[in-house]
Amino acid sequence: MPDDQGPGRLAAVRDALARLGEPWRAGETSLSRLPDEAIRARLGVPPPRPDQLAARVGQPAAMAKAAIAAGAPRAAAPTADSPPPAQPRRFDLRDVDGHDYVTPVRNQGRAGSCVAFGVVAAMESTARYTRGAPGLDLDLSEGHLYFVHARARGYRVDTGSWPHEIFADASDKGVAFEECLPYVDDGSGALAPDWADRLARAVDVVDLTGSPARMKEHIRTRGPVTACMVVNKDFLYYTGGVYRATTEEFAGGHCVNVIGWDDDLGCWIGKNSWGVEWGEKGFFRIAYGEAYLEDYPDPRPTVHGCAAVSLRAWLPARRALHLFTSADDDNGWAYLEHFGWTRLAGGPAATGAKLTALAHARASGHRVTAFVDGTELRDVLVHD
Amino acid sequence: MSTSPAFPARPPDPDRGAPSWGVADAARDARQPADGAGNGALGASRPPSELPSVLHAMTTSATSAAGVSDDGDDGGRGPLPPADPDRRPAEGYGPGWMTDRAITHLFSYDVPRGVWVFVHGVGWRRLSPASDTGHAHLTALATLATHANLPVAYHEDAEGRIDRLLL
Repeated sequence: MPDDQGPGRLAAVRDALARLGEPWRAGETSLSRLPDEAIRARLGVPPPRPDQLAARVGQPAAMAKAAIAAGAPRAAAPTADSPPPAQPRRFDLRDVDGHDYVTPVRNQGRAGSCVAFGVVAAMESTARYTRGAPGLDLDLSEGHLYFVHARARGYRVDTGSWPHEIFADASDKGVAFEECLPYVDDGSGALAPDWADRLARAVDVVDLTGSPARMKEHIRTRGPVTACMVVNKDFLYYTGGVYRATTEEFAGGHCVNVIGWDDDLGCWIGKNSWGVEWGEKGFFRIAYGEAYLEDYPDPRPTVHGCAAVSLRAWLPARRALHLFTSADDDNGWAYLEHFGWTRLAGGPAATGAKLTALAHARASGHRVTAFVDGTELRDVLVHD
Repeated sequence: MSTSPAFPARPPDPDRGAPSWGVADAARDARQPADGAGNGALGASRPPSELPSVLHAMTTSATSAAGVSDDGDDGGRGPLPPADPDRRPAEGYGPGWMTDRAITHLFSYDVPRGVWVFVHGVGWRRLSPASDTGHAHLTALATLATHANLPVAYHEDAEGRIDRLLL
């Protein structure tokens, strides 16, 4: 493959695809015309060493086999040590019973912040999916995660970072809402002083490295997973289809979201952070085992998800669609539009007061503005 | 007051397209109301205390015009209050969930935590007296359901009393 960008390299990719029977489509993209230096800047996972790659020579085939096996029916009754239950042959978080739980594709620009984008994308969609709220308008600040938290770990724009550390920060310190620190790829801007009251935290971060079955189980029950991948230069030209490498020409390490799979095509469905001008409007499909997606060649864990996302914020005004209570002393819940269930906080008396206010809103259709903290609704204002 | 269990009954997912959120229990895959973890023991009965007077007045007035049988169609006049409110329902009760029901009447009588609701097509059911505030919260939602004609889902305990209410 030629070293230059543009038509020469694209032609080489297309020639290779033609020889392989056109498994995917190549064209000019938002990445393909960039100089190598700019591309390297966007690949924010430290690259594997040649010996680490050589040690994984049999891994792609093994992972592809394991991914397909995850859809096979289980013969015996499950036990505590059983693998996850058999998964459907196809699953896509963009279409679960007609609902789209994936937040819009974003563009990391000229910074090695792909890990922050991968973690944030997983959190945003997990927040939607686990609440059954595809309309939850949650936009978290990749800038906070990368230019504040990762920088505190010593990472710079050109060093890249590792998802297990960034996910740990998202869990321990939290991620502010986008308006608290709008993303700019040079890291400029200042964090809003009230960011702690507009915050999301990843809950129960799990390591899924090396287990396609657990990846599928997590995606189907919780939401996307964040995964690292080895990027070869032909990937920059990807415009559609199921990607398989046509060259061994290495570009760098990258971090993406995995939002589904298709056993019939033998592929994962991924979400990238290179804007909608790349791939299938920012998404892509990649063959099982390809690019070391299930287990990046490094001793660190590289595939993660979170079981839930805890929010602390005032929610924009919305309707209270349902109310629930029980004979327990202190157990009132409200189901808020585009948010889901939240428990009424403050003890029995406060629960009763909130229940009364929300009952009025429920019956009248008046909107409510609520301050939620984790699973609890702390304050509520009913609009007239 | 009774002591709430560590994970009290949590609500079912009302329109169910995906798992409910990932807190520890989660009746995640329920498409109909279902038991969540920790739903078992409600608070133990406590010494009697009065329901708020306004609540008593609301519920009493709602049933003051009632005048027919206690378990069926009322010919437009409304059902009679339960004949013996200290007894459990005669038949056809829980435990389990009932969905898409209408509460048409309320009845409150002169004992603590003594509110009953009339469920259309089912009959009279007592709201669980397991705790003062829990009973008041159940009553509040039952009152709203009656006033605004909102359908409910509810759960009956082993005694045939409504111990969870969703609307």
